[in-house]
Amino acid sequence: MTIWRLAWRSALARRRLFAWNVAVPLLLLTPVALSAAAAPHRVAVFGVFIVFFAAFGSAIPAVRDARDGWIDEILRAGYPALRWLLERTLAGTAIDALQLAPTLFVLLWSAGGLRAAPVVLPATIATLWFANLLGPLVAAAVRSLAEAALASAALSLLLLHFAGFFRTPAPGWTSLVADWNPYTPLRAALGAAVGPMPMDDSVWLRSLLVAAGFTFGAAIFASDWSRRLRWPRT
Amino acid sequence: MTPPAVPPLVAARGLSYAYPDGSAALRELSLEIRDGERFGLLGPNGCGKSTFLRLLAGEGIRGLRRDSSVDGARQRWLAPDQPVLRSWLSGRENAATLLELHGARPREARAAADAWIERFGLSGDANRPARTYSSGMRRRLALAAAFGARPRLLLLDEPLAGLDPGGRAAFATALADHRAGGGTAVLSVHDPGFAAANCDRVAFIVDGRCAVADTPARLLGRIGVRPRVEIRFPAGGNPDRETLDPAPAGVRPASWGEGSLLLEVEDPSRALPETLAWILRAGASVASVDVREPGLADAFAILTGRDLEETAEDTA
Repeated sequence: MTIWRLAWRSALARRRLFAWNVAVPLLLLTPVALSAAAAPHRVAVFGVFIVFFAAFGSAIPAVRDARDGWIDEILRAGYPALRWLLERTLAGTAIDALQLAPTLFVLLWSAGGLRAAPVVLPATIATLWFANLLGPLVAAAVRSLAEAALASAALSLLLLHFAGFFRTPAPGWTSLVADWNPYTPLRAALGAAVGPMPMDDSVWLRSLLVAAGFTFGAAIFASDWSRRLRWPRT
Repeated sequence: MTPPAVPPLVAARGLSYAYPDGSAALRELSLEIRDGERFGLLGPNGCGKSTFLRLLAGEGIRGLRRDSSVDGARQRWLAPDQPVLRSWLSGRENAATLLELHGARPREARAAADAWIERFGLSGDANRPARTYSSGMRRRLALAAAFGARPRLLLLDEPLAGLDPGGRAAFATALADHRAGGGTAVLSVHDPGFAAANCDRVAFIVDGRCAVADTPARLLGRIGVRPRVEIRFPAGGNPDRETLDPAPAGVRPASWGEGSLLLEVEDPSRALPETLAWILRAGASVASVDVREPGLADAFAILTGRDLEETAEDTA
Protein backbone atom coordinates (compact mmCIF):
# COMPACT_ATOMS: atom_id res chain seq x y z
CA MET A 1 0.00 0.00 0.00
CA THR A 2 2.93 2.35 -0.66
CA ILE A 3 0.98 4.49 -3.11
CA TRP A 4 -1.94 4.77 -0.69
CA ARG A 5 0.45 5.90 2.07
CA LEU A 6 2.27 8.25 -0.30
CA ALA A 7 -1.01 9.90 -1.31
CA TRP A 8 -1.96 10.47 2.33
CA ARG A 9 1.52 11.68 3.28
CA SER A 10 1.40 14.11 0.38
CA ALA A 11 -2.09 15.35 1.26
CA LEU A 12 -1.27 15.81 4.94
CA ALA A 13 2.14 17.38 4.30
CA ARG A 14 0.45 20.23 2.44
CA ARG A 15 -1.79 21.34 5.29
CA ARG A 16 -2.63 24.71 3.79
CA LEU A 17 -3.77 23.14 0.53
CA PHE A 18 -5.76 20.57 2.48
CA ALA A 19 -7.48 23.35 4.43
CA TRP A 20 -8.27 25.21 1.20
CA ASN A 21 -9.75 22.05 -0.26
CA VAL A 22 -12.11 21.88 2.71
CA ALA A 23 -12.85 25.62 2.89
CA VAL A 24 -13.44 26.41 -0.80
CA PRO A 25 -16.29 23.89 -1.30
CA LEU A 26 -17.85 25.12 1.93
CA LEU A 27 -17.57 28.77 0.92
CA LEU A 28 -18.91 28.19 -2.58
CA LEU A 29 -21.61 25.63 -1.92
CA THR A 30 -23.03 26.64 1.46
CA PRO A 31 -24.83 29.68 -0.01
CA VAL A 32 -26.23 27.44 -2.74
CA ALA A 33 -27.35 24.82 -0.25
CA LEU A 34 -29.08 27.44 1.91
CA SER A 35 -30.57 29.37 -0.98
CA ALA A 36 -34.09 29.18 -2.28
CA ALA A 37 -32.84 28.10 -5.71
CA ALA A 38 -34.88 25.44 -7.46
CA ALA A 39 -33.85 21.90 -6.60
CA PRO A 40 -32.57 21.01 -10.12
CA HIS A 41 -30.29 24.07 -10.03
CA ARG A 42 -28.89 23.13 -6.66
CA VAL A 43 -28.35 19.56 -7.86
CA ALA A 44 -26.51 20.81 -10.95
CA VAL A 45 -24.21 23.11 -8.98
CA PHE A 46 -23.35 20.40 -6.46
CA GLY A 47 -22.90 17.75 -9.15
CA VAL A 48 -20.60 19.89 -11.30
CA PHE A 49 -18.53 20.88 -8.29
CA ILE A 50 -18.11 17.34 -6.94
CA VAL A 51 -17.17 15.90 -10.33
CA PHE A 52 -14.75 18.72 -11.18
CA PHE A 53 -13.23 18.57 -7.71
CA ALA A 54 -12.27 14.92 -8.20
CA ALA A 55 -11.51 15.00 -11.93
CA PHE A 56 -9.14 17.97 -11.76
CA GLY A 57 -7.65 16.73 -8.52
CA SER A 58 -6.81 13.42 -10.16
CA ALA A 59 -5.73 14.37 -13.70
CA ILE A 60 -3.52 17.33 -12.87
CA PRO A 61 -1.39 15.55 -10.23
CA ALA A 62 -1.14 12.58 -12.61
CA VAL A 63 0.38 14.81 -15.29
CA ARG A 64 2.66 16.44 -12.71
CA ASP A 65 3.78 13.05 -11.38
CA ALA A 66 4.46 11.87 -14.92
CA ARG A 67 6.39 15.01 -15.80
CA ASP A 68 8.45 14.86 -12.58
CA GLY A 69 9.40 11.23 -13.23
CA TRP A 70 7.46 9.81 -10.27
CA ILE A 71 5.39 7.41 -12.29
CA ASP A 72 8.49 6.23 -14.14
CA GLU A 73 10.19 5.75 -10.77
CA ILE A 74 7.23 3.80 -9.37
CA LEU A 75 6.92 1.45 -12.33
CA ARG A 76 10.66 1.04 -12.80
CA ALA A 77 10.83 -0.08 -9.18
CA GLY A 78 8.66 -3.02 -10.16
CA TYR A 79 5.49 -1.68 -8.55
CA PRO A 80 2.58 -3.29 -10.44
CA ALA A 81 0.75 -0.80 -12.64
CA LEU A 82 -2.63 -2.14 -11.55
CA ARG A 83 -1.80 -1.68 -7.87
CA TRP A 84 -0.55 1.82 -8.57
CA LEU A 85 -3.79 2.68 -10.37
CA LEU A 86 -6.14 1.16 -7.79
CA GLU A 87 -4.30 2.49 -4.73
CA ARG A 88 -4.08 5.93 -6.28
CA THR A 89 -7.79 5.93 -7.12
CA LEU A 90 -8.76 4.62 -3.70
CA ALA A 91 -6.63 7.20 -1.88
CA GLY A 92 -7.89 10.01 -4.11
CA THR A 93 -11.49 8.99 -3.46
CA ALA A 94 -10.97 8.81 0.31
CA ILE A 95 -9.16 12.16 0.49
CA ASP A 96 -11.74 13.90 -1.72
CA ALA A 97 -14.57 12.43 0.38
CA LEU A 98 -12.93 13.67 3.56
CA GLN A 99 -12.46 17.15 2.15
CA LEU A 100 -16.03 17.33 0.83
CA ALA A 101 -17.61 15.86 3.98
CA PRO A 102 -18.36 19.21 5.70
CA THR A 103 -19.97 20.56 2.53
CA LEU A 104 -22.09 17.44 2.10
CA PHE A 105 -23.13 17.71 5.74
CA VAL A 106 -24.31 21.29 5.15
CA LEU A 107 -26.25 20.16 2.08
CA LEU A 108 -27.95 17.30 3.89
CA TRP A 109 -28.65 19.37 6.99
CA SER A 110 -30.13 22.23 4.91
CA ALA A 111 -32.35 19.69 3.11
CA GLY A 112 -33.99 18.72 6.33
CA GLY A 113 -31.70 16.47 8.26
CA LEU A 114 -29.57 13.47 7.37
CA ARG A 115 -32.39 11.32 5.99
CA ALA A 116 -30.85 11.31 2.48
CA ALA A 117 -27.35 10.44 3.74
CA PRO A 118 -27.69 6.71 2.96
CA VAL A 119 -28.10 7.51 -0.74
CA VAL A 120 -26.02 10.69 -1.09
CA LEU A 121 -22.87 9.33 0.54
CA PRO A 122 -22.53 6.14 -1.54
CA ALA A 123 -23.44 8.04 -4.70
CA THR A 124 -20.81 10.68 -3.94
CA ILE A 125 -18.17 8.05 -3.22
CA ALA A 126 -18.99 6.17 -6.43
CA THR A 127 -18.74 9.45 -8.36
CA LEU A 128 -15.43 10.34 -6.75
CA TRP A 129 -14.08 6.87 -7.55
CA PHE A 130 -15.03 7.15 -11.20
CA ALA A 131 -13.69 10.71 -11.58
CA ASN A 132 -10.43 9.72 -9.86
CA LEU A 133 -10.07 6.74 -12.18
CA LEU A 134 -10.48 9.03 -15.20
CA GLY A 135 -7.55 11.23 -14.06
CA PRO A 136 -4.69 8.96 -15.21
CA LEU A 137 -6.59 8.18 -18.43
CA VAL A 138 -6.79 11.87 -19.22
CA ALA A 139 -3.15 12.36 -18.18
CA ALA A 140 -2.06 9.56 -20.51
CA ALA A 141 -3.69 11.32 -23.44
CA VAL A 142 -2.29 14.82 -22.89
CA ARG A 143 1.10 16.52 -22.74
CA SER A 144 0.66 19.36 -20.27
CA LEU A 145 -1.20 20.54 -17.19
CA ALA A 146 -3.27 22.95 -19.26
CA GLU A 147 -4.33 20.18 -21.63
CA ALA A 148 -5.18 17.99 -18.65
CA ALA A 149 -7.43 20.69 -17.18
CA LEU A 150 -9.14 21.26 -20.50
CA ALA A 151 -9.65 17.57 -21.27
CA SER A 152 -10.92 16.88 -17.74
CA ALA A 153 -13.40 19.73 -17.95
CA ALA A 154 -14.67 18.67 -21.39
CA LEU A 155 -15.01 15.01 -20.47
CA SER A 156 -16.67 15.77 -17.14
CA LEU A 157 -19.15 18.23 -18.66
CA LEU A 158 -20.05 15.72 -21.34
CA LEU A 159 -20.69 12.97 -18.80
CA LEU A 160 -22.58 15.36 -16.51
CA HIS A 161 -24.74 16.47 -19.43
CA PHE A 162 -25.58 12.90 -20.39
CA ALA A 163 -26.28 12.08 -16.76
CA GLY A 164 -29.07 14.64 -16.89
CA PHE A 165 -27.62 17.29 -14.58
CA PHE A 166 -28.44 20.13 -16.95
CA ARG A 167 -31.70 18.95 -18.47
CA THR A 168 -33.89 15.94 -17.93
CA PRO A 169 -33.04 13.29 -20.50
CA ALA A 170 -35.75 12.91 -23.09
CA PRO A 171 -37.11 9.46 -23.71
CA GLY A 172 -35.02 7.69 -26.31
CA TRP A 173 -31.27 7.38 -26.68
CA THR A 174 -30.40 10.22 -24.26
CA SER A 175 -32.42 8.50 -21.59
CA LEU A 176 -30.68 5.22 -22.37
CA VAL A 177 -27.25 6.89 -22.08
CA ALA A 178 -28.29 8.46 -18.77
CA ASP A 179 -29.35 5.06 -17.48
CA TRP A 180 -25.82 3.75 -18.07
CA ASN A 181 -23.94 6.87 -16.97
CA PRO A 182 -21.76 6.51 -13.84
CA TYR A 183 -22.74 10.00 -12.65
CA THR A 184 -26.49 9.37 -12.79
CA PRO A 185 -26.68 7.98 -9.21
CA LEU A 186 -25.25 11.25 -7.91
CA ARG A 187 -27.91 13.25 -9.75
CA ALA A 188 -30.61 10.97 -8.48
CA ALA A 189 -29.30 10.99 -4.91
CA LEU A 190 -28.85 14.78 -4.78
CA GLY A 191 -32.31 15.15 -6.28
CA ALA A 192 -33.78 12.91 -3.58
CA ALA A 193 -31.96 14.94 -0.90
CA VAL A 194 -32.88 18.47 -1.93
CA GLY A 195 -36.23 18.09 -3.58
CA PRO A 196 -39.20 15.97 -4.17
CA MET A 197 -37.47 13.80 -6.77
CA PRO A 198 -37.95 10.17 -5.82
CA MET A 199 -34.99 7.96 -6.55
CA ASP A 200 -35.37 4.98 -8.82
CA ASP A 201 -33.32 2.17 -7.29
CA SER A 202 -32.56 0.68 -10.70
CA VAL A 203 -30.36 3.72 -11.39
CA TRP A 204 -27.88 2.30 -8.95
CA LEU A 205 -27.43 -1.04 -10.57
CA ARG A 206 -27.02 0.16 -14.15
CA SER A 207 -24.69 3.05 -13.38
CA LEU A 208 -22.59 1.10 -10.94
CA LEU A 209 -22.27 -1.65 -13.53
CA VAL A 210 -20.76 0.97 -15.86
CA ALA A 211 -18.34 2.15 -13.16
CA ALA A 212 -17.39 -1.44 -12.37
CA GLY A 213 -16.94 -2.21 -16.05
CA PHE A 214 -14.74 0.84 -16.49
CA THR A 215 -12.68 -0.18 -13.45
CA PHE A 216 -12.31 -3.68 -14.88
CA GLY A 217 -11.23 -2.26 -18.24
CA ALA A 218 -8.78 0.07 -16.54
CA ALA A 219 -7.36 -2.88 -14.64
CA ILE A 220 -6.83 -4.83 -17.86
CA PHE A 221 -5.17 -1.93 -19.64
CA ALA A 222 -3.39 -0.44 -16.60
CA SER A 223 0.02 -1.53 -17.81
CA ASP A 224 -0.31 -0.01 -21.29
CA TRP A 225 -2.03 3.01 -19.86
CA SER A 226 0.67 3.69 -17.30
CA ARG A 227 3.43 3.24 -19.89
CA ARG A 228 2.19 6.40 -21.57
CA LEU A 229 2.78 8.24 -18.30
CA ARG A 230 6.44 7.26 -18.10
CA TRP A 231 8.29 10.45 -18.86
CA PRO A 232 10.97 10.82 -20.10
CA ARG A 233 9.78 8.35 -22.70
CA THR A 234 12.77 6.18 -23.52
CA MET B 1 43.67 -25.72 -16.61
CA THR B 2 41.99 -22.42 -17.51
CA PRO B 3 39.15 -21.46 -15.16
CA PRO B 4 35.78 -21.29 -16.89
CA ALA B 5 34.94 -17.82 -18.16
CA VAL B 6 32.59 -15.98 -15.80
CA PRO B 7 29.65 -14.60 -17.78
CA PRO B 8 29.21 -10.85 -17.44
CA LEU B 9 26.48 -9.46 -15.23
CA VAL B 10 25.28 -7.30 -18.10
CA ALA B 11 26.24 -7.56 -21.75
CA ALA B 12 25.26 -5.17 -24.50
CA ARG B 13 25.92 -6.53 -27.97
CA GLY B 14 25.17 -4.29 -30.89
CA LEU B 15 22.64 -2.39 -28.81
CA SER B 16 20.85 0.28 -30.80
CA TYR B 17 18.11 2.59 -29.64
CA ALA B 18 16.29 5.51 -31.20
CA TYR B 19 14.01 8.01 -29.49
CA PRO B 20 10.35 8.22 -30.52
CA ASP B 21 11.25 11.15 -32.79
CA GLY B 22 13.60 8.86 -34.71
CA SER B 23 16.91 10.32 -33.55
CA ALA B 24 19.47 7.65 -32.71
CA ALA B 25 20.70 7.56 -29.12
CA LEU B 26 22.70 4.32 -29.22
CA ARG B 27 24.34 2.83 -32.31
CA GLU B 28 25.52 -0.76 -32.08
CA LEU B 29 26.88 -0.24 -28.58
CA SER B 30 28.76 -3.24 -27.22
CA LEU B 31 30.26 -3.61 -23.77
CA GLU B 32 30.26 -5.95 -20.81
CA ILE B 33 29.85 -5.17 -17.13
CA ARG B 34 31.23 -7.72 -14.70
CA ASP B 35 29.79 -8.73 -11.39
CA GLY B 36 31.05 -6.59 -8.51
CA GLU B 37 32.77 -3.87 -10.47
CA ARG B 38 32.40 -0.11 -10.47
CA PHE B 39 32.00 0.69 -14.12
CA GLY B 40 32.33 4.26 -15.33
CA LEU B 41 30.79 5.71 -18.49
CA LEU B 42 32.77 8.67 -19.73
CA GLY B 43 31.71 10.77 -22.68
CA PRO B 44 30.49 14.20 -23.73
CA ASN B 45 26.90 15.35 -23.26
CA GLY B 46 24.43 13.67 -25.58
CA CYS B 47 26.62 10.66 -26.34
CA GLY B 48 24.07 8.14 -25.00
CA LYS B 49 25.21 7.48 -21.42
CA SER B 50 21.88 8.32 -19.80
CA THR B 51 19.92 6.36 -22.39
CA PHE B 52 22.13 3.34 -21.82
CA LEU B 53 21.58 3.58 -18.05
CA ARG B 54 17.81 3.86 -18.57
CA LEU B 55 17.81 0.80 -20.79
CA LEU B 56 19.84 -1.10 -18.19
CA ALA B 57 17.22 -0.14 -15.61
CA GLY B 58 14.29 -0.88 -17.90
CA GLU B 59 12.30 -3.94 -18.73
CA GLY B 60 14.64 -5.35 -21.35
CA ILE B 61 15.47 -4.71 -24.97
CA ARG B 62 17.00 -6.65 -27.83
CA GLY B 63 20.80 -6.50 -27.70
CA LEU B 64 20.95 -6.26 -23.92
CA ARG B 65 21.40 -9.35 -21.76
CA ARG B 66 21.24 -9.30 -17.97
CA ASP B 67 22.16 -12.04 -15.57
CA SER B 68 19.13 -13.51 -13.81
CA SER B 69 20.40 -12.11 -10.48
CA VAL B 70 19.65 -8.58 -11.72
CA ASP B 71 16.67 -9.37 -13.91
CA GLY B 72 14.11 -8.44 -11.27
CA ALA B 73 13.20 -4.75 -11.19
CA ARG B 74 13.99 -4.60 -7.48
CA GLN B 75 17.55 -5.81 -8.00
CA ARG B 76 18.26 -2.69 -10.03
CA TRP B 77 18.12 0.93 -8.95
CA LEU B 78 18.52 3.91 -11.23
CA ALA B 79 19.35 7.25 -9.65
CA PRO B 80 18.47 9.59 -12.53
CA ASP B 81 20.39 12.77 -13.31
CA GLN B 82 17.44 14.79 -11.96
CA PRO B 83 16.59 13.38 -8.51
CA VAL B 84 12.94 12.32 -8.33
CA LEU B 85 11.64 13.83 -5.09
CA ARG B 86 8.32 15.09 -3.76
CA SER B 87 9.13 18.68 -2.94
CA TRP B 88 6.58 18.97 -0.11
CA LEU B 89 7.70 15.80 1.71
CA SER B 90 10.66 15.86 4.06
CA GLY B 91 13.98 14.38 3.04
CA ARG B 92 13.36 11.43 5.36
CA GLU B 93 9.87 10.80 3.94
CA ASN B 94 11.18 11.01 0.39
CA ALA B 95 13.97 8.51 0.98
CA ALA B 96 11.69 6.13 2.90
CA THR B 97 9.02 6.29 0.18
CA LEU B 98 11.55 5.50 -2.54
CA LEU B 99 12.80 2.53 -0.53
CA GLU B 100 9.23 1.31 0.07
CA LEU B 101 8.54 1.49 -3.64
CA HIS B 102 11.50 -0.82 -4.16
CA GLY B 103 10.02 -3.36 -1.79
CA ALA B 104 11.29 -2.42 1.69
CA ARG B 105 8.82 -2.69 4.56
CA PRO B 106 7.91 0.71 6.04
CA ARG B 107 9.94 0.19 9.22
CA GLU B 108 13.00 -1.10 7.32
CA ALA B 109 12.66 1.73 4.84
CA ARG B 110 12.68 4.35 7.60
CA ALA B 111 15.70 2.74 9.32
CA ALA B 112 17.69 2.50 6.08
CA ALA B 113 16.71 6.04 5.11
CA ASP B 114 17.88 7.39 8.47
CA ALA B 115 21.18 5.50 8.35
CA TRP B 116 22.05 6.63 4.83
CA ILE B 117 20.84 10.18 5.31
CA GLU B 118 23.33 10.36 8.17
CA ARG B 119 26.12 8.92 6.02
CA PHE B 120 25.47 11.62 3.44
CA GLY B 121 25.50 14.33 6.08
CA LEU B 122 21.83 15.31 5.89
CA SER B 123 20.66 14.30 9.37
CA GLY B 124 20.18 17.89 10.48
CA ASP B 125 17.97 18.61 7.47
CA ALA B 126 16.13 15.30 7.24
CA ASN B 127 12.83 16.70 8.50
CA ARG B 128 12.81 19.73 6.24
CA PRO B 129 10.71 19.65 3.05
CA ALA B 130 12.77 18.70 0.01
CA ARG B 131 11.74 21.96 -1.69
CA THR B 132 14.07 23.79 0.71
CA TYR B 133 17.06 21.68 -0.34
CA SER B 134 19.86 22.94 -2.57
CA SER B 135 20.64 20.91 -5.67
CA GLY B 136 23.61 19.34 -3.88
CA MET B 137 21.40 18.31 -0.97
CA ARG B 138 18.85 16.83 -3.35
CA ARG B 139 21.64 14.85 -4.95
CA ARG B 140 22.86 13.61 -1.55
CA LEU B 141 19.33 12.55 -0.64
CA ALA B 142 18.85 10.67 -3.91
CA LEU B 143 22.17 8.91 -3.40
CA ALA B 144 21.27 8.07 0.22
CA ALA B 145 18.08 6.37 -0.98
CA ALA B 146 19.92 4.56 -3.78
CA PHE B 147 22.59 3.11 -1.50
CA GLY B 148 20.02 2.44 1.22
CA ALA B 149 18.23 0.01 -1.10
CA ARG B 150 21.43 -2.06 -1.49
CA PRO B 151 20.53 -3.13 -5.03
CA ARG B 152 22.65 -5.73 -6.82
CA LEU B 153 22.98 -3.34 -9.74
CA LEU B 154 23.20 0.34 -8.97
CA LEU B 155 22.86 2.70 -11.92
CA LEU B 156 23.91 6.28 -11.27
CA ASP B 157 23.40 9.01 -13.83
CA GLU B 158 25.76 11.91 -13.21
CA PRO B 159 25.92 11.29 -9.46
CA LEU B 160 28.56 13.98 -8.93
CA ALA B 161 26.44 16.84 -10.28
CA GLY B 162 26.07 19.48 -7.60
CA LEU B 163 28.06 17.61 -4.95
CA ASP B 164 30.59 19.53 -2.87
CA PRO B 165 33.92 17.91 -1.85
CA GLY B 166 32.32 16.42 1.28
CA GLY B 167 29.51 14.94 -0.77
CA ARG B 168 31.95 13.52 -3.31
CA ALA B 169 33.97 11.91 -0.54
CA ALA B 170 30.83 10.40 1.02
CA PHE B 171 29.77 9.13 -2.40
CA ALA B 172 33.19 7.61 -3.15
CA THR B 173 33.16 5.81 0.21
CA ALA B 174 29.60 4.55 -0.32
CA LEU B 175 30.56 3.32 -3.78
CA ALA B 176 33.54 1.41 -2.39
CA ASP B 177 31.38 -0.08 0.39
CA HIS B 178 28.72 -1.08 -2.13
CA ARG B 179 31.37 -2.94 -4.13
CA ALA B 180 32.77 -4.54 -0.98
CA GLY B 181 29.25 -5.78 -0.23
CA GLY B 182 29.13 -7.54 -3.60
CA GLY B 183 27.17 -4.88 -5.46
CA THR B 184 27.86 -3.67 -8.97
CA ALA B 185 27.64 -0.03 -9.94
CA VAL B 186 27.50 1.66 -13.33
CA LEU B 187 27.92 5.41 -13.26
CA SER B 188 28.09 8.13 -15.86
CA VAL B 189 30.51 10.88 -14.94
CA HIS B 190 32.04 13.98 -16.45
CA ASP B 191 35.02 14.02 -14.11
CA PRO B 192 37.84 11.87 -15.53
CA GLY B 193 39.82 12.23 -12.31
CA PHE B 194 36.99 10.77 -10.24
CA ALA B 195 36.52 7.94 -12.72
CA ALA B 196 40.23 7.14 -12.68
CA ALA B 197 40.31 7.03 -8.88
CA ASN B 198 36.99 5.28 -8.19
CA CYS B 199 36.12 3.03 -11.12
CA ASP B 200 37.48 -0.44 -11.76
CA ARG B 201 36.86 -0.04 -15.48
CA VAL B 202 35.86 2.86 -17.66
CA ALA B 203 34.16 2.93 -21.05
CA PHE B 204 34.61 5.84 -23.44
CA ILE B 205 31.24 6.49 -25.08
CA VAL B 206 31.08 8.52 -28.27
CA ASP B 207 28.06 8.98 -30.55
CA GLY B 208 26.15 6.10 -28.97
CA ARG B 209 29.02 3.64 -29.29
CA CYS B 210 31.57 2.29 -26.88
CA ALA B 211 34.94 3.32 -28.31
CA VAL B 212 36.98 1.44 -25.73
CA ALA B 213 36.54 -0.02 -22.24
CA ASP B 214 39.34 -0.97 -19.87
CA THR B 215 40.86 -0.23 -16.48
CA PRO B 216 42.01 3.38 -16.02
CA ALA B 217 45.64 2.22 -15.74
CA ARG B 218 45.46 0.28 -19.00
CA LEU B 219 43.72 3.14 -20.79
CA LEU B 220 46.52 5.47 -19.71
CA GLY B 221 49.10 2.84 -20.66
CA ARG B 222 47.65 2.65 -24.17
CA ILE B 223 48.28 6.28 -24.97
CA GLY B 224 51.85 6.52 -23.70
CA VAL B 225 51.51 10.24 -23.06
CA ARG B 226 54.17 11.86 -20.94
CA PRO B 227 53.53 14.55 -18.37
CA ARG B 228 52.89 17.92 -19.93
CA VAL B 229 54.23 21.35 -19.03
CA GLU B 230 52.31 24.38 -20.17
CA ILE B 231 54.22 27.66 -20.17
CA ARG B 232 52.16 30.83 -20.51
CA PHE B 233 53.67 34.12 -21.67
CA PRO B 234 52.48 37.63 -20.88
CA ALA B 235 51.41 39.87 -23.76
CA GLY B 236 54.48 40.57 -25.89
CA GLY B 237 56.53 38.05 -23.93
CA ASN B 238 56.59 35.24 -26.50
CA PRO B 239 60.03 33.84 -27.33
CA ASP B 240 61.42 34.42 -30.78
CA ARG B 241 60.89 30.99 -32.37
CA GLU B 242 63.50 31.75 -35.10
CA THR B 243 66.29 32.09 -32.58
CA LEU B 244 65.07 29.37 -30.21
CA ASP B 245 67.70 26.70 -29.55
CA PRO B 246 66.77 23.04 -29.89
CA ALA B 247 64.74 21.84 -26.89
CA PRO B 248 66.68 20.28 -24.01
CA ALA B 249 66.97 16.50 -23.86
CA GLY B 250 63.74 14.79 -22.72
CA VAL B 251 61.60 17.79 -23.68
CA ARG B 252 59.43 17.89 -26.82
CA PRO B 253 57.29 20.86 -27.86
CA ALA B 254 53.78 19.44 -28.37
CA SER B 255 51.99 22.57 -29.55
CA TRP B 256 52.31 26.35 -29.67
CA GLY B 257 49.22 28.23 -28.64
CA GLU B 258 48.23 31.87 -28.47
CA GLY B 259 50.62 33.08 -25.74
CA SER B 260 51.44 29.58 -24.56
CA LEU B 261 53.66 26.61 -25.25
CA LEU B 262 52.76 23.00 -24.43
CA LEU B 263 55.67 20.63 -23.89
CA GLU B 264 55.87 16.90 -23.29
CA VAL B 265 58.59 16.10 -20.78
CA GLU B 266 59.91 12.83 -19.44
CA ASP B 267 60.62 14.03 -15.91
CA PRO B 268 59.19 17.46 -15.07
CA SER B 269 61.10 17.85 -11.78
CA ARG B 270 64.45 17.45 -13.52
CA ALA B 271 63.66 19.12 -16.82
CA LEU B 272 61.85 22.20 -15.56
CA PRO B 273 64.88 24.42 -14.63
CA GLU B 274 66.59 23.61 -17.90
CA THR B 275 63.40 24.20 -19.86
CA LEU B 276 62.83 27.60 -18.30
CA ALA B 277 66.41 28.61 -18.96
CA TRP B 278 65.96 27.53 -22.60
CA ILE B 279 62.87 29.68 -22.99
CA LEU B 280 64.32 32.71 -21.23
CA ARG B 281 67.44 32.57 -23.40
CA ALA B 282 65.19 33.19 -26.41
CA GLY B 283 64.07 36.52 -24.92
CA ALA B 284 60.73 35.34 -23.50
CA SER B 285 58.99 36.42 -20.31
CA VAL B 286 57.09 33.74 -18.38
CA ALA B 287 53.72 34.41 -16.75
CA SER B 288 52.99 30.92 -15.40
CA VAL B 289 54.08 27.31 -15.56
CA ASP B 290 51.62 24.43 -15.17
CA VAL B 291 52.64 20.79 -14.89
CA ARG B 292 49.97 18.19 -15.73
CA GLU B 293 50.11 14.46 -15.41
CA PRO B 294 48.28 12.71 -18.24
CA GLY B 295 44.78 11.67 -17.25
CA LEU B 296 41.72 9.96 -18.65
CA ALA B 297 40.75 13.17 -20.44
CA ASP B 298 43.98 12.90 -22.47
CA ALA B 299 43.33 9.18 -23.02
CA PHE B 300 39.79 9.99 -24.18
CA ALA B 301 41.03 12.63 -26.62
CA ILE B 302 43.74 10.40 -28.07
CA LEU B 303 41.77 7.15 -28.24
CA THR B 304 38.51 8.61 -29.56
CA GLY B 305 39.78 11.69 -31.41
CA ARG B 306 37.17 13.71 -29.53
CA ASP B 307 37.13 16.15 -26.67
CA LEU B 308 35.25 15.29 -23.47
CA GLU B 309 33.97 18.85 -23.27
CA GLU B 310 32.16 18.84 -26.59
CA THR B 311 28.45 18.07 -26.94
CA ALA B 312 26.53 15.97 -29.43
CA GLU B 313 25.44 19.18 -31.22
CA ASP B 314 29.08 20.22 -31.69
CA THR B 315 29.82 17.06 -33.61
CA ALA B 316 26.54 16.64 -35.47
